Amino acid sequence: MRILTAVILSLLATSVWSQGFEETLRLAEKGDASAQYSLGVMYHDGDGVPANSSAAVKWYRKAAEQGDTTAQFWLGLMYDGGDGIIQNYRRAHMWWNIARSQGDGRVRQGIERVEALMTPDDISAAQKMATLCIESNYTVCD
Amino acid sequence: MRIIAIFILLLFTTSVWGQNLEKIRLLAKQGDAEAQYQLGRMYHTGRFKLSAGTVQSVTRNSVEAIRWYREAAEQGHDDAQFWLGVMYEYGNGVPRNYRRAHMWMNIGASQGNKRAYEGRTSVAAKMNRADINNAQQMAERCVMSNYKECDQ
Repeated sequence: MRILTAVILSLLATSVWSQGFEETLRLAEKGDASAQYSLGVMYHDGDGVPANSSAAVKWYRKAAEQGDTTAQFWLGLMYDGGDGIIQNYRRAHMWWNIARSQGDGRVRQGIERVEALMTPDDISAAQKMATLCIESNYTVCD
Repeated sequence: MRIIAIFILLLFTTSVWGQNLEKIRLLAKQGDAEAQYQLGRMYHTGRFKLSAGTVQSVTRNSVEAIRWYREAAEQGHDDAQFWLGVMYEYGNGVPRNYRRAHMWMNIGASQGNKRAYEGRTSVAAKMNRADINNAQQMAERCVMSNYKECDQ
């Protein structure tokens, strides 16, 4: 009995978990932020699709611009590392600052680290960019 | 007999070599990024690889190397972007300029080029914070302008 339960449970979990690339893509293209974020992770990890950092950035950005703070965290990381996108500390700072303002504490360390690589002028430019991005409701973030 | 054979062989290789080089030159002039990159490599290293696997020596010319690397780099060729960055980093055929070096390596790295990724780190180690951040904005402007505004 216990084994049967385990089998059923694992089947169920697999079906939910392995919501395939195609299905995720379909939802993401319809504008589902959580699917967009998942698609970003899939491209980032090469999970169900060949790894492609540029594509990961593209989907993280779509989710980030809908206010998904986890996607904002990862987008910042991509800018910080210059992975799939031009390395740009101001933009990393901008996305992390936005995520922090939405209550995501994970970005604190990143902000501290990237600020050490920036001049006061850069930091204030990045803060201005973040404000503009938020006040424009994510329409002017670039 | 043997001398004649050697002579014919020599003529043959030269003509093949000439053909290949002329073909690459023509393609490069027509705007083929890979041909431009190959031409850049040839002028940079002083070696031209024949398709047969043999190598022909040519006169090195850093200025010509830069010229062709740049043509290819401005078409998005990531290896050319890396090498153009190297030329700027070491002041080879062009005045040394770390910001430009960082800019080209950053662009190459953003396309997944491993050497550019590592090169960016090593050139950044020789720059101050203001210059690094400045170079990052330069790189973004360069790409966003579709490689029209890369020389500021």
